[in-house]
Amino acid sequence: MGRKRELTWIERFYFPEIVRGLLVTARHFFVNLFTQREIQTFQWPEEERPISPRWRGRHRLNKREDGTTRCTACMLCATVCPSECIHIVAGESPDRKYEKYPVSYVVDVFRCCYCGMCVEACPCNAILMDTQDMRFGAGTPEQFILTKEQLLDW
Amino acid sequence: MPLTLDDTLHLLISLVWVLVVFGAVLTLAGFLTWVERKMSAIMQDRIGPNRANVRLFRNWRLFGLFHIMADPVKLFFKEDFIPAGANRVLHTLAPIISLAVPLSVFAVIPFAGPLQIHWKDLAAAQIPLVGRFFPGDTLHLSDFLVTFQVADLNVGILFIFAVSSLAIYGTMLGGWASNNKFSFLGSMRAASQMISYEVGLGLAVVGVVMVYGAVSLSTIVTRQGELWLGIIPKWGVITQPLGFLLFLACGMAEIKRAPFDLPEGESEIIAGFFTEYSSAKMMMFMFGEFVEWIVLGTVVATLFFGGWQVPYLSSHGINIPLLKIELLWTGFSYVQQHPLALQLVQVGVTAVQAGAFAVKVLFFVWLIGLVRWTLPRFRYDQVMKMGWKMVLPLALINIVATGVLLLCEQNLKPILQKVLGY
Repeated sequence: MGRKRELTWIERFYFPEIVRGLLVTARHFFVNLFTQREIQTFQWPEEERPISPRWRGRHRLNKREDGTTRCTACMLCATVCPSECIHIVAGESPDRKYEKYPVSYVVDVFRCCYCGMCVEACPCNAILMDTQDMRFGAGTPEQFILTKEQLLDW
Repeated sequence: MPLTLDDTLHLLISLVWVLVVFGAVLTLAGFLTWVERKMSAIMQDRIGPNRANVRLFRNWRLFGLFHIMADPVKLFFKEDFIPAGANRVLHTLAPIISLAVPLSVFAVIPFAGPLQIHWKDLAAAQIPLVGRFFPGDTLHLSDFLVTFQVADLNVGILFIFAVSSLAIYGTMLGGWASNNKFSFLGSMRAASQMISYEVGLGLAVVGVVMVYGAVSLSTIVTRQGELWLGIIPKWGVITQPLGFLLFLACGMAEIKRAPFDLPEGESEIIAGFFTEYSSAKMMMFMFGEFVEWIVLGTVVATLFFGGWQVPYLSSHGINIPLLKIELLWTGFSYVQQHPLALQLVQVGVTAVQAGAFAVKVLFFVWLIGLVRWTLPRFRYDQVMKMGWKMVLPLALINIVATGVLLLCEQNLKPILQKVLGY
């Protein structure tokens, strides 16, 4: 930030500075009137805004090669979650290689604050927030409580 | 005294101008609701309203022009609300005043030069239907003057001030009758601001009245067509540069536009005097504000930018004395041969003048919008300080300086004319 300085007498006279300001805005007016060169707006539904790969969006559950979820119901994500929006019911895994699997895995998206701590905590790389889904909307509040099937279906 | 046929025609023409002026002003005001948002948007590198559309065989958007239709429809279907404890009559009267008052200013604005008609006299009996009402009268079309002005009052400027001061009743009544503290505070702010700047506004115009020696707007505009030193048009902005700046600043304070939009202030007093208004009444307040915007543009163009004057162009021809350029319409052989050609050329000149006036008004409307979206708003004490400590003394100095310069010009003019030889 610049240090506050004394105004010169031209600046204190006020009118030349008004004209200078008007020239700036008038330049923007005419440039955008004829070329739309400097317009920053994305016309969203028609025009996609480029999203960074790090952008945290809707959650999804990662799958193994056989199609089952990578989640082993270790409860680390549910424990670390600051808004307590992950609810897991664990069950004994039918696959002998793993001890547990989530019978249900529910994310209450209305409570989620998109901090991404669940993704960092997961040791199995099972929960991810890389769907890049911007158009996540629904008509009723119940539709924002994502079940395991919805999380896997991406 | 019975009405003669000539008078009747003058009256009818005036009525036509009433319709034309109202139509033009209200159409422009309607467009301004869109222009204001679109203009602010593109000045701030945004796009602005563009979603309202009409689905015919294609999806028409037209840069969001349909918002002009969509907004009033939406507002009309809102609940018309009068708060408890409000004075119902005054609460309803306030928006009517604040819309009707600025509209009536346009009655005295000349929007094109007078047109002299030299055709032929028509006896009333020759015209179907009319002969029965005016027996024995004639229509003197051989020498008939069409003025492009609803009413050519000889106190034009005073009429503008008298009427535009009434606008304060709209805001005062609106704020007081709402029975709401925020509304009342807003209207108090509006009242003190408008009264303070009315003084500066009036004094800024005195210079113009001195220079052109008239308060009639048609006379002022006609005299602005004169040339100074034979080349510079004597527009108000050249004879009264300080007066112009003061008038524009005071005018913007008077119509409560940013940077002087203190009567409204979302973070302080909600919407100010029209907090308690909804539906069509709120729309009338908004519309009145847009009409006042056009009023200011029109008055500034009339008083300081030559009104309908196009430099060097008149109904006789093009004339620049200093460069010895003189082009008379009657000098063309084609015009001499055809009796109606001169008349047509003069009609064309009038049309050009009306077009020039429209361009000037639109330019000032644009400029006022530009100022609104450029300058941050003043603090309330700054507005008052500027009104009484800056604008008022400057306006008084302007009057004195104008008087001194007028005396000098009167004494120096013969010498200058001799030196420059025109």
